[in-house]
Amino acid sequence: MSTDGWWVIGMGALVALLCAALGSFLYLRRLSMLGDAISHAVLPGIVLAYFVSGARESLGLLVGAAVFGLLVTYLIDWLTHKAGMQQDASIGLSFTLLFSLGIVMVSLWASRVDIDADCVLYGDIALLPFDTWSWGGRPMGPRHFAMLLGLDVLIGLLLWRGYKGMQLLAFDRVFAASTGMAVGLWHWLLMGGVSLATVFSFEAVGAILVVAFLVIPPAIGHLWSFGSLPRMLAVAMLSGVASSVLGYGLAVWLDSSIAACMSTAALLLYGMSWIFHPQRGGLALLLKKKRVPHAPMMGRMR
Amino acid sequence: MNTPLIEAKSLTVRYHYKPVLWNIDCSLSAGRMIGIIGPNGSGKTTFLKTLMGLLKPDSGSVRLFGKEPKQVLERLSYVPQRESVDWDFPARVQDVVLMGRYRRSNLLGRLSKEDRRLADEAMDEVGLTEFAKRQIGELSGGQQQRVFLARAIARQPELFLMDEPFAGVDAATEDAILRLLARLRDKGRSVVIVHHDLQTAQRFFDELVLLRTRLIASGPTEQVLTPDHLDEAYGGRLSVLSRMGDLLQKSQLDWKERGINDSDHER
Repeated sequence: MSTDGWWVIGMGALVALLCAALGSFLYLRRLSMLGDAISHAVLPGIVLAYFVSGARESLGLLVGAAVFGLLVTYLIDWLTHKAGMQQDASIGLSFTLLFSLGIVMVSLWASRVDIDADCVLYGDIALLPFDTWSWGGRPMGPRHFAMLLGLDVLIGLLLWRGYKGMQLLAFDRVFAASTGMAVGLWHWLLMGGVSLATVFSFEAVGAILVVAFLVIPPAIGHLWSFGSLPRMLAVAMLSGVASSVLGYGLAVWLDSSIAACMSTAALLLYGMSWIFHPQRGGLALLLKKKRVPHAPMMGRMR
Repeated sequence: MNTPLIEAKSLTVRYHYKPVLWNIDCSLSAGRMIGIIGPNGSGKTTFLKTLMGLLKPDSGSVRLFGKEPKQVLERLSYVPQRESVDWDFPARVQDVVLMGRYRRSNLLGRLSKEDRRLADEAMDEVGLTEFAKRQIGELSGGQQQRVFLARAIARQPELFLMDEPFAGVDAATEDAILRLLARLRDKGRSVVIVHHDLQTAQRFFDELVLLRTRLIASGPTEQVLTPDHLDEAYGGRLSVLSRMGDLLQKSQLDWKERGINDSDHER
């Protein structure tokens, strides 16, 4: 396989690690749809960033673009709690508003902004290895890889040091607040992380497929957590990396979109991990049904 | 003079402009089992959340240990309603009990040996030691409630604030929890419980706060649970007034029956 292939797999894996770790906390807080919303709502920010900087993405502007992720989070909050709209409806309204605004901006500034609708949906991971950078005359590989690596390290540190806070916030928000923990700040830290992850992953996998990485690996992790949050995180991140490796292989074999194949691979992994799960799995359910018809409720009641 | 444990002065809390608590004045002293009772929507949970500083009074004030609630959070433990969390969360019993040791000072750091010892002690106190490694989703409702209690005990608070701890819990667990709380009270801790069952309230609590958005009455249980107060709180909705005599008699009987059953249910 060419070096470019490895760079693509590497970037896919970095995106997957990032989204799997952050997505796990969204999943546990039943906010996966908020991740979906954020991943779409950052589009106007990204278009603006490109518009201002010309063709090239710049680090500072991308961070600025992430503000749109926080904006949509705030908008959803406001519509739900102040305007009295149902939460699912306010999520739907807020992100489609910002996403369509972004699409309008893309088409208006088509000549000055180097992204099109296809790129918005699926990303351009195959092109990223060609945009390289060098440091002190030495070639350092694709610029985007370095940026993703930096963000992975940053978010890794946040979740490592802030593990207890994120865990407590996810499990029991009111108890967390009763201990004096600044739950609002922690909430915005998580949402900020998701916004940054989305903006940085955008070029690699596009708006829609970021969602696959935010949701599917955490779902696999939750299935195989067996009462351990660290295990959930580990399984989620591992299956995210596995999806990007398998997905790349799939894309080469089928000569298809890399990002789409990576999320297809994630879905396949989810299907497999569900079928073979010892308690909740399809196979286990099938076997149980045959063995013990009308199993009485036992064990849990005392 | 002793500082009162809880002191509310013309406390009003609104939710969406509608008052949930209206002009509450009361003063409660430490070292008691205090019940907060009233019909549904009477502001019981709101009162509890205001005590912890989670809701801001729209007017008036509330003091805990003579101070702003936010300043004394380290001295209290909150026990939320069991249904308020997702029990499918990937955690074992000991993980949840250890959360009782999280505080601002160690949130970014590590838990100490002392933290783990206190969590173990708390699990022992509620009889969950053998379940320490069990996934919380596998527990019965009563066991889950005891996990929350252990988490609260692990914080070593002076004050327990509990929201409906007996909802969906069997009689044996209820009595086990009550005995434990009574022990804590006898050691000088204070316990404030949001409770909705009048029948049991009169034998659980030393003092009661009877709410119906306004304060109907507060003070020693027998002075609060009078036909007049209950009529004022519940109106004609429960024919409490006429059944009051029956209730008192019946609850005494229940108590005796449970006393016998206890030994069967425990362990």
